[in-house]
Amino acid sequence: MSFELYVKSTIDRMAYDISVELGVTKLADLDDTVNLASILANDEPAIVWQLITLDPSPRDPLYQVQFGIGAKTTADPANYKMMSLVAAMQHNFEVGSRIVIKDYSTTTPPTTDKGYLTVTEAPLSPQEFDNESGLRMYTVTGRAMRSF
Amino acid sequence: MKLSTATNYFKKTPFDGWDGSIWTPEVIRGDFHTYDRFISDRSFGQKKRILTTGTIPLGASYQALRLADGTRYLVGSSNVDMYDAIYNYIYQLEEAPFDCEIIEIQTSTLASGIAGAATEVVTGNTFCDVERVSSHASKEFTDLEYVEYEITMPLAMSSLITADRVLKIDSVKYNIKEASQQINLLACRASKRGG
Repeated sequence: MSFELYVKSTIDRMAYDISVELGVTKLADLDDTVNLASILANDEPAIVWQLITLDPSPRDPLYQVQFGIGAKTTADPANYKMMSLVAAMQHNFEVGSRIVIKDYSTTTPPTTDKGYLTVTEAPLSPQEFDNESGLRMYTVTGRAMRSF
Repeated sequence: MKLSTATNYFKKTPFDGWDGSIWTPEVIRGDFHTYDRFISDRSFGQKKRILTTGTIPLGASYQALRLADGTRYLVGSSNVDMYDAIYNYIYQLEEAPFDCEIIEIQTSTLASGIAGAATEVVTGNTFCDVERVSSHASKEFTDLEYVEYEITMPLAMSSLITADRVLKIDSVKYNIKEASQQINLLACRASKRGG
């Protein structure tokens, strides 16, 4: 069992699908120390995300999940480019929506469901700054259930 | 006496030349100095040396020189001494005692759409100098320092060096953070893996 990996790879896949939908070619997991620096230092917009917590609550197979997902932009006066990207991705994790958890961690497309995540909260969190770049993410909270 | 008569008289030491791919025997003769009596950076005179070649310049394609004993030097910069006419070509050389592998981290696109499953592939070999330049404290843990190095190599390596490459020197791997041209050399700012 590797439910943690399945949840992580599902969030990765969601970020990738959003980047395709919005036509953004750069994307980076904020915890990916191998690739993050080159993405953040790049002046192109990027989709960014981060798995924050995965809590067996009250116990496995029920979980509480929290992750951040949003956009980073550079040279963006008034942050309108950033906010338009952020607004355009919001429909992917509206409160009450269900995200199917699969194992996207290998090169083989998944064929079976590994669980389900229902979004319970998705507030837009405060903006962060890194030198010339700005970054803003939704903090998405949900209840997940692992499939047997 | 013409000044060039004196400068040409002292150029006795032969050097092999490296043009970016191969070593050519005895491409130039010169007078090889230490200049350690000058106040300068700590490596001057120890690793950085001065070569004068009289009125005959080193071919522009040569980025490194080698003494008969095998000691390698990077050609850092060139200048001329003039008095009406050029009477001496002067080169600043930097010793490059280390062999270096240039490693690319190659990834596969996973079903998530993200690049993962990394493997390290050697894409080139060169020689270089390594100097510790600074360190910075961990943002998470007290007493942990990450050390930064400057790794200097020939400009011919520019096409292989980017900020996502890794250098392997004496079995130690260094992650490149920045690569820039410094006069006629390629200088990489890198951190040692494992601190």
